[in-house]
Amino acid sequence: MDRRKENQEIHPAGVGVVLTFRPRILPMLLPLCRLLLVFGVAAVLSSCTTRSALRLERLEGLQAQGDYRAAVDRIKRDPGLYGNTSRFLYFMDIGTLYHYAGMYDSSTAYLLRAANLYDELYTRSVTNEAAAFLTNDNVRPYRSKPFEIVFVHQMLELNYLARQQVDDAVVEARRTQLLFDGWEKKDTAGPGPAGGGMFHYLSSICWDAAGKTDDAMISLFASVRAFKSGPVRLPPWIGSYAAGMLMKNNREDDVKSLALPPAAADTARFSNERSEVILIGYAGKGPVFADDVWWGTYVVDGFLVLHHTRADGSMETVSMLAPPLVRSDDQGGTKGRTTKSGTTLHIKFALPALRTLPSQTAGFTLRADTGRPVTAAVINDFDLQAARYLEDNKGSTLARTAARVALRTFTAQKTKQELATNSPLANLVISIISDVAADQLEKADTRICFLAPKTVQCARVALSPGRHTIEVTSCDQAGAALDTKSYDIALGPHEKKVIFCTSLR
Amino acid sequence: MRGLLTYGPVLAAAVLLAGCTSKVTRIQSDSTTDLSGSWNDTDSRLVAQEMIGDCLNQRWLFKWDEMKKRPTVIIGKITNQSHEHISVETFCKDIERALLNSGKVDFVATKTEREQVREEKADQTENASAATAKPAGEETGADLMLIGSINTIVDQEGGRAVVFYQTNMELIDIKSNQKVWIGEKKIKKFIRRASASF
Repeated sequence: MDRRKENQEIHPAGVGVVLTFRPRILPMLLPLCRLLLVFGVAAVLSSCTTRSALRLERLEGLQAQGDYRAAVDRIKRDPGLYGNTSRFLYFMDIGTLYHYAGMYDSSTAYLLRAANLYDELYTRSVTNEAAAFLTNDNVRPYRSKPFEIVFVHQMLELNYLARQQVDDAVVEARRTQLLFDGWEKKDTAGPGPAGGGMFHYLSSICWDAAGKTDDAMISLFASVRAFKSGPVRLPPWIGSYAAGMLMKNNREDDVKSLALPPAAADTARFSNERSEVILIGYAGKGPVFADDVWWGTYVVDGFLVLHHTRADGSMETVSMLAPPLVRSDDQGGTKGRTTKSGTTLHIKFALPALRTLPSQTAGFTLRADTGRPVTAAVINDFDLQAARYLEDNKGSTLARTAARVALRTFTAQKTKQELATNSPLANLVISIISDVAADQLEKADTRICFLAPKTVQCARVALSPGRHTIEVTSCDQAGAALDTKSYDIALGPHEKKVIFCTSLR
Repeated sequence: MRGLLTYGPVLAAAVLLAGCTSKVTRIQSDSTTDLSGSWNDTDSRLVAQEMIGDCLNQRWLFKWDEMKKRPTVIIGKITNQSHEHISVETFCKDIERALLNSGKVDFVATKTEREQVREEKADQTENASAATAKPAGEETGADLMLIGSINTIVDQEGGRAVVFYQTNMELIDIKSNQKVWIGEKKIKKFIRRASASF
């Protein structure tokens, strides 16, 4: 064969076959350079996961101390903590921190950008999806989990309520309702998983503040129904309040259909028009995701068997039909040829796993003037939301990741065959580099808004218009006081005044 | 072939980088531009034009013409009952300007504006000379109040949505509580979002 032709030979591309182009100079170094390039790309791509860990490491302390503005400064000084693929989280995290810091206008500006970006990311980039299939899910732009985008809209709603912009708060309630409508049609996330109970409950407050009594009652009804579908249980106080309010608005049928017990005496003072102080408390540390290693065997034209160790030390095994990643060869054997069918491949990869963090703050009590303290009810629990999200998406994430890793392992084997030399040492180096590169490429998508609290809690007191002193105490699991804050409040007629207490310890 | 392999990626990179450069073009303020499908300046302008045209050609104004008087109007609350954050002030100001410039009505300051003016008057009584200080209690009372709302109905399925905006405005006689004019403008939009792109 003519030497020049041989050097320019291009192999046909297919699964597991790489294009080879061999120049005359340094033919031995080219495969190594190519592998080093792959290794470099893998290192860059794996940094997405490193960023999640870095964010947690750099912001966790400031968050626990309650130094939210310093945390915002830290993020703004180092936008590389997020990168281009996590812009949603960048806006959400800054908006959340400003919200905790009581800087509602700044918070609104960032949260609106997060909400708009969520809409823009509806259109998926084919290039990104292809890159994600070849590398890992971190390559995709972060699109937010349902409970995160709902929380973004809820913080916006609360920011507007805090600024007494009731019309805008109601707009947020409507926007969130559209999200829920879309999910219900797709049936991917029902009212429970994305925090429907809290959403409808806050919406009922907004509608009451806007003087729309019917809408407020519809939202209250939807809230109880959503709480009953989990994962956050219906707080008894909200059940009692809903029973009382629905009865006052001549909605006995609603009370019956929700099977609510009669309203307790402490909810009797409430009415749609009554002035109220509403405490929104953020307690404890929200969940984070960690890498959970899975391993197993891929049998060509057969099964895929995967194992992993649960947090409690027990082993979980999942079996499924092997995704057809290479052309089926099960007819080869019957025709007397050698066949790939039945050959096995060992694969290993990581999936996101929930890691809940221990929290000191467990709840809040609210005391108005010299009245009795009121205990706040848990209206959202992000540990439960994240656990439900992972459970709901486990099957699809597992199948997608296993298929990707099996395909990559096939490709790596083919690449090794293509790059094999007559030097055992060079072959060893090539094998090690390709294995390390493949391992680096596979990282679980552990991105999550860890700045969300563990729980969101709410307490309400009905008061006469005028000046009031409100005392909010954050408590630990045993009910011991951790911190007390005082608020001097001027309450107008029919006003629903929202106050916040954040204790992320 | 070798040249293509050498220069191809360079050219592709150059094209991609050129796409990253910001470019700003000035366009006519009355041109129609729809990017996201949300309420925008075109909708605001269409509503204002419709309302003004309708408002100035209705019966209520003839009554004042016959009396050879110009009614004084105040802008009341225009509520946003839609699912978008809409700046209602933009078309309110368009309507106010057009009605005022028509020479057929007078406007008085809104509630928020009045508070500022009264603050200034209070300051003048303390600090301005007696000859130039403006006294309190001589404001013009409005004859009519303009109120309204923007409503939306959204029907969506996957990447497709139909958004129906309805803007209602009413002019109310403050003395008699009679509604002397009701105007409305409807806008319907079909929005389609691609589920995938390159």
